[in-house]
Amino acid sequence: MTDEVRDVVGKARAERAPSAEDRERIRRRLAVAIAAGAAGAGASAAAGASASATSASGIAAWIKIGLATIALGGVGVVAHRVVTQEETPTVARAPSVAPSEPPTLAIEPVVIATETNDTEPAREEPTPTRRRRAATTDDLARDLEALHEAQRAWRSGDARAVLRHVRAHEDTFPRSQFRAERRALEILALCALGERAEAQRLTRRFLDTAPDSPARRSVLESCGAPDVR
Amino acid sequence: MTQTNPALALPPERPAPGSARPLDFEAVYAECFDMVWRYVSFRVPRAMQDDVVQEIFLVVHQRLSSFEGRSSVRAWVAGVARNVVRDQLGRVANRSLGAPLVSEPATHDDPGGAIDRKRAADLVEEALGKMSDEQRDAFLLLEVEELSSREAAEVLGVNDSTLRSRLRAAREVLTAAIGRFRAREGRVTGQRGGGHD
Repeated sequence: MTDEVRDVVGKARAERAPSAEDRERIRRRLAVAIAAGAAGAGASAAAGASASATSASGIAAWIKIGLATIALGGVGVVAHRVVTQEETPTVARAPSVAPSEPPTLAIEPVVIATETNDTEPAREEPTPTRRRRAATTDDLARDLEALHEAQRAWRSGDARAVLRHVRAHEDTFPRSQFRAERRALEILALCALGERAEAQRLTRRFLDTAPDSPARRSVLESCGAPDVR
Repeated sequence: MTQTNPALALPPERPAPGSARPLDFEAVYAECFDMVWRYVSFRVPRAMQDDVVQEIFLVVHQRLSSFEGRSSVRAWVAGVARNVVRDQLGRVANRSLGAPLVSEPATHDDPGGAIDRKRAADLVEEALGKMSDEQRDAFLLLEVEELSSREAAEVLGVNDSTLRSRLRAAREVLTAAIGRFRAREGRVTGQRGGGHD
């Protein structure tokens, strides 16, 4: 490799290195997704196997982080799971959770924030605290799973289905923790359908109400963005 | 704005009972995040980057307990990243999601001078867009992420000779991209010089 090629590669590598903000943002999103996945696993017959894997890979701490992050309102995220056919070895997929009951969106920050300081592994005894948390994570899992539907529709390229799912989600979870991501999906879907004026109207509202959302960049790169990019 | 709450600090992990090779997700995340982030940045549009990086680590999280240590963790995660990226690109192949996958080449404000970091990244991206999939992966894993030949060969499922051949071809593509950049630069310089005559 010539010196110039080596120089270009080194600089490109440095240019694309993540910032501390990138690292932290993805960490929060992952924590939420993992917490939601754990809630789903707990609601399924496969909970035993999932709990074992969770313990072995030290995921309990991430679940706590995810719950605390949600309680603290520090994240706007779509936690998603994509089935990847070609990936290697054995696969233990977290089961999805079918929405079945009207949600209760009261997350209990005091309980969760207290648990973030707990360095002990999660115990299995069903204490009153754990029962309250389980109810909370189930609600969150249903909320997320409903939004997953919209994101899956987006990934499959069906913008009309995205709008249907988004609006159903809005009806069912009007105070969802993921309102910003829901709005972002709606904007992207409207753009895909050529409804630019409505996309721009919603983008203005999005930027007013969720200026720090991780979805901001996607929205600003859509047709809903102001004309001057 | 990033809000880092001290309450989010991760507690130390303990080895899982009966686990001969404890491997916690925090450690894997810390070790591999930069690699995954960079790899994804060169492979997908910006608008998809967060989602794809998140997806990669979700897959890693799901499968960590099945990791047997036959390859390095970095090589294993790189393999997951490669597959998730391929899957995601296949899903959005015909859909615009904001920024283009390959940036348009641009001229430089400092002709003849050192290539700055932004321009270097654009040049690499331009070259990646002209490489075959095989060359691209060999180049990213070996040159950008500095995996060992053995690790990269494991990820790509090829022997060392094939890997070297792909890497050689990829380097030639980048060298050509740099050459085109220098030529464009020269034209701009010439035009500017001509304007003053």
